[in-house]
Amino acid sequence: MKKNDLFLLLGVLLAAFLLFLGLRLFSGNGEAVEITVTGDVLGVYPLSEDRIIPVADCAEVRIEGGRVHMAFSDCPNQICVRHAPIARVGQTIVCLPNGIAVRILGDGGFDAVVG
Amino acid sequence: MKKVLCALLVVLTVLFCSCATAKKRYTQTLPTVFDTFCELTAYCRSEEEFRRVADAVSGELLRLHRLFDYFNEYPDLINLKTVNETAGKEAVPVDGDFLALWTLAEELYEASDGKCNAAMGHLTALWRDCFEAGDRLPDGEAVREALSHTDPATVRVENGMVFFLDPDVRLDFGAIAKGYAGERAAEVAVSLGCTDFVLNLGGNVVVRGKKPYGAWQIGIENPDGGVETSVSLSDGAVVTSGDYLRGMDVDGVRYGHIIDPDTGSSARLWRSVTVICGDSGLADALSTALFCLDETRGRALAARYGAEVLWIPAHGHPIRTQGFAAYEGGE
Repeated sequence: MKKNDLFLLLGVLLAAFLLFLGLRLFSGNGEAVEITVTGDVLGVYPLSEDRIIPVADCAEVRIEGGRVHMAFSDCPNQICVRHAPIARVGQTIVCLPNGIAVRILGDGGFDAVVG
Repeated sequence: MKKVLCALLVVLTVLFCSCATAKKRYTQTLPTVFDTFCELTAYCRSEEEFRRVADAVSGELLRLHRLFDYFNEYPDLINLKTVNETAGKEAVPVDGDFLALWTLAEELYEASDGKCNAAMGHLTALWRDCFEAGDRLPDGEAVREALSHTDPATVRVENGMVFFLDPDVRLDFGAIAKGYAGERAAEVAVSLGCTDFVLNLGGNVVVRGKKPYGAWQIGIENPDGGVETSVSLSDGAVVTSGDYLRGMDVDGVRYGHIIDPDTGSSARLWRSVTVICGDSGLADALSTALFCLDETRGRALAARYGAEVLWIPAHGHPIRTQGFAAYEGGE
């Protein structure tokens, strides 16, 4: 084996290790938010940009500083509005009366969230 | 040497890819039952296989939702509403799942010193009306009256028949039905050959098997926002009872949706209680009972069933059983 091959091998291993480390460090924080209304996807929006998203004339989702919350809903129980902002993969805010589900997408993170 | 290395790389790559693609991840929102957002995530060999499992799981959940429905009756079905309306007058024949859930409720009533009580339907109905209105408390006299008809011993179950010795007792399975249904639905998925899945019934999570690269990761939210912690789990259930979302504020006081059978009012010891154990029905019943119990009595109850618990108090730091900590930190 030539010296250069050894360097290449070490280089590849190092890159793989760094990638692995990076994935572990940064996994869990979401990249985008998906909003569905009665099961149909209304849209997928990046968390990196602040945005106000009206949902079916009955609710309003806001992305602010990488976190997502339900700013308004005309539902009677207001459970969705009470829910604290979410940012981790797998977290959801649901407005059952209006059939709205707001979900954080990305690599890694949680397969389900309770609370 | 170079050739050997290359060959090794190729073999490893192929192995990796085949492992990763043998089963694919699928997620589907299921029809809303038990007033909850329901979702199934599973690793299956094909989309057809996943759809078949998801349909069967939905069917089982819907069947149990109807059986334990407090508000509605359905054609050709004797359900909870039928029992509540007729068992005070005559014995009513009920389904095997109804009997199984009642057996669980009776056992947990004894074990929790009455904190998990499925016979306080009148009381929960009074509070439910108020929660819907959102601005008033139930009448004190009405609460006292309702509290005098909450003894499960007045519910006689014999030979598959239910009869109320106290005609004013009413059953409400709201605290335990969802967990029980999750367990039954998980059995249906397993019977169809699905070995690796997460069934999430809004706060009641049942998991089986694992992901290609390890156990399932279940996050537990902090009532103040963010995720408090997470647990790695392969076979079992995680159930959280919390009062910070469902409930109401009256005159600046928070009233959560979990009613303490001893006081007839909202339990307020904890903001949330999370239980991990092998059976989702048991976990659901335990989390409700633990929500009304202090730490000492709660620890004794959890130990009796080998359940692990995370308590998030209104003030101060979370408390956990030793075994709970062993599930944490996998993310």
